[in-house]
Amino acid sequence: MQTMTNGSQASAPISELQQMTRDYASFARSRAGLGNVLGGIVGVLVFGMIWLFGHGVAVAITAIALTFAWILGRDILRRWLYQPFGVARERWSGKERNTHLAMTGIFTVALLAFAVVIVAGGWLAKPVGWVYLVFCLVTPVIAWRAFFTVPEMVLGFDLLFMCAIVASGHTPDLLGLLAAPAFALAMIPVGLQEHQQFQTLKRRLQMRGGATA
Amino acid sequence: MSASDPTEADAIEEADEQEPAERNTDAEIHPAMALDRVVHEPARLAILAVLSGAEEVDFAFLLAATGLTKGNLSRQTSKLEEAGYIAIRKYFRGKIPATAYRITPTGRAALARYAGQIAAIGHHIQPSPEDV
Repeated sequence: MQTMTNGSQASAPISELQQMTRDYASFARSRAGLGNVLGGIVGVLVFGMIWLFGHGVAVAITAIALTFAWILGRDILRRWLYQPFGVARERWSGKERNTHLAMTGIFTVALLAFAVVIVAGGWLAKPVGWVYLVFCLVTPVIAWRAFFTVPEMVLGFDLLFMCAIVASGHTPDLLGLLAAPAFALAMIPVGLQEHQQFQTLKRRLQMRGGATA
Repeated sequence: MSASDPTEADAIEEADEQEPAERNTDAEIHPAMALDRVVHEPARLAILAVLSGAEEVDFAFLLAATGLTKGNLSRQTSKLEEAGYIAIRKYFRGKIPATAYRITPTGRAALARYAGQIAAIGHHIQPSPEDV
């Protein structure tokens, strides 16, 4: 099963067709391309802003807005930039599925435990308690639906946690402020490299006669 | 009497039916005879290859990846669906009707079996010296 022809332009090794499909479909879930670049920039901006201005209403609103701009923007990029030849949903291996399940599960258990402490400890008497409770309940849902890779999960959780801290009127500790932007910066070259890979893939599909949808 | 004579053909067919135990299976005659004809057709093989690389793809991507014409793609996917190798789902993306395709476990098994058969046959092909 090496090569196939069908009388048209479709002439490629079968394994190449499979790999090309896998690569294209990966941009629907596990590879974000410029979405990672956006995440890196948002990460640096949010943490830089908190480092410079500390907490406050304006900082909290901007941090939350930027975080959700990344989460939504990445999906928009996936749909409009990385699926130009039509929709292809990525096939997840059992290992990938289990990793996502385990990571989301760990976050969910930890956050639900924290939510129980908030409720049982009487934190809800203060607005701060409600901010953290919302964070505990919303984060697992976002993680399940929007974070599919380890970098996304780590940066996403970190950003949401920082949002909760500044919204509650506190300032994150130095470790959080230093580790997260370093991680965010590392996502930028990864995203650029993925984008380059997609451009190559796009050219290959165009050469096969593919028209953008 | 020619081989295409209906009387002779009927007689051969009748004899075949009377002695099924003595007949060789297609695979015994030659491994190539046992190839799955549904998968063996190049366009259908390309479709299965694409579908095996993703959970689900829509018509537009299948068209781009295989390079087939719309009519041919529709025909071949219908045949694959009839064989139970792929599943076709019609849905609406907003107000636009769309079609999604996915390979079934039966289709995946057929593709894997076909790959094994082709590899086995390939090992037996000995090109004659003047063809090399």
